Amino acid sequence: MRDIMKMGVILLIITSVSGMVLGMTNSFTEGIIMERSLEEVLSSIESLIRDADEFEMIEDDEVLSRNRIREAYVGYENGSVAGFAIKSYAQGYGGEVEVMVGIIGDGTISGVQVMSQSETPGLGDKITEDSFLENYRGNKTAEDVSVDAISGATASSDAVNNAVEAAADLFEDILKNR
Amino acid sequence: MSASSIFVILISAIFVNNFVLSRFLGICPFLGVSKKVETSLGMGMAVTFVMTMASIITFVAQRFILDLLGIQYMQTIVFILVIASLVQLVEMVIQKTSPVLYQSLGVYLPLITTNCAVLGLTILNIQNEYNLVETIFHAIGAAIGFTLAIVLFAAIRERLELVDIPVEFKGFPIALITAGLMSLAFMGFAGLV
Amino acid sequence: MKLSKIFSRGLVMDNPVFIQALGMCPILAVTNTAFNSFGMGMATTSVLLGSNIVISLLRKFIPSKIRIPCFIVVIATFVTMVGMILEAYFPALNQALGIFIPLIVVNCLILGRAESFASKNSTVGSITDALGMGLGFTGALVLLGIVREVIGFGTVFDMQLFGDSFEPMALMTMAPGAFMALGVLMAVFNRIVYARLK
Repeated sequence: MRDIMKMGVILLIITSVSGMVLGMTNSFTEGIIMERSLEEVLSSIESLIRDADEFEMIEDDEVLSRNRIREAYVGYENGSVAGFAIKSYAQGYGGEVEVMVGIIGDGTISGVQVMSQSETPGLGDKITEDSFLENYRGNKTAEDVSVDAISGATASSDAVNNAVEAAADLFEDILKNR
Repeated sequence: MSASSIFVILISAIFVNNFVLSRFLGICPFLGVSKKVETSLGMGMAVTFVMTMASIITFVAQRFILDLLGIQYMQTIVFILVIASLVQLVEMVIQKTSPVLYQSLGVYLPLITTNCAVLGLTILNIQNEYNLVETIFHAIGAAIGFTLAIVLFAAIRERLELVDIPVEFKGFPIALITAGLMSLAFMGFAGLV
Repeated sequence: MKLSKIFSRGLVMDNPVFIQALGMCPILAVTNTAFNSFGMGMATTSVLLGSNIVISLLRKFIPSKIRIPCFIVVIATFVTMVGMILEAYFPALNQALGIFIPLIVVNCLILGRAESFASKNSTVGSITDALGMGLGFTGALVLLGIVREVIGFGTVFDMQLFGDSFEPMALMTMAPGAFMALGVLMAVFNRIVYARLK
């Protein structure tokens, strides 16, 4: 019995030390990780809504609870709306594909950027290349926004198509009327 | 959530994203315990059992302990401890209640703790944001996929034993090349989902 | 045993990858490019170094009955720390390695060294052992990564090797290529070792 107590205490000590060490490491790296991902998002929206000088995150349940939508930002130019940047996602071949879609004016796609993906290297990850993503530029949200799939990477291309479509629908259904 | 989405999860875990042949999870038992069909079937059964149980418990641990306390960074430690104690518990229970089952599964159980397919599965469940039902079906699919791959592989290896191959290729090298051919065949399922 | 011998045996004769075939999952999964392989090798080596040091320091304090759970907690702590550091400073690498970072916990190489070496030897010896095994592991990973990257992408560490006429063999970057490349490399390694034994 004493033996079991002793073993329990030792295991407890080791686990709590490890918990403390991790807690400290976490509080140290957490800020850096957050800052980095914020920077990434900011530079992405800045390049998608070029004209805007001020950005605001949309915190509206009606918007954020929609299927495949993760985050949405609005960009203002001299106080009036210049465009939207919408972070949406869809299931690809290797996992989730997350994209940022820029929509300006009355519904023109200003660009699409892949934020994170885990598609097959050499095949599916071609969706991150400009030669594919630039096909979205200029598409109208009121029409079909999808583009032709990359051959050999249909599932990955479809994921981007689905995510962009979700963003376009969000614009058509809600954001356009703001 | 609908019946069809569960079906997709199941088929995808068994064939398209087969844990062994396309995700590279659980390679150690796949190469180590696949010399005979019978033993590989036993390993498959033991893994199926542990995977399903571990998925349910880690799901609860994530939702009601880690998320609640905001200590998601303890995930790896908590999950591996859950799996290790679960394996130990299962071993004790089987030993007491069913000596027959213990004889056929017992030797594989300690090996499962370090089977990365189990830990990998529990982490993937959380990453994919599955709910409890989806988690269970993902676990079952992953386990069937693992069993299917290891049993098929064992059947091939039984025959490989009798083949005359260069001495350098004996053992792991030829087994890996065989696994490569199998994985090539499984890529044919890619369009399924 | 001499330190130099402890160090060198991990590199060739007891190579964790080619001879012992330990930690096969990351070996196959993240070696599609030389850079990813190097990152994985370094991450594993750091965890191995940390766990070997702590376990050799605690070896008299940990009762043998509960040594495995203790080892696992120590290893998991280092793995989580390495994961956090990678996420903060090397986000691209972190994303490429993905789930295989937490899975370093179940790399049999690390638990194996804790059990068979660090729990029985001095701290200095354990550090040497970790460095030898870690470098042997990293070397093997990078070698496999180079082979797969050259054939699969036509590059090494992202440097273009061939002219435009080179058609990369995409299969090499995918699962079947990983299995086959490792199989062939192992056979080559066997051949070298056999020749030496004779």
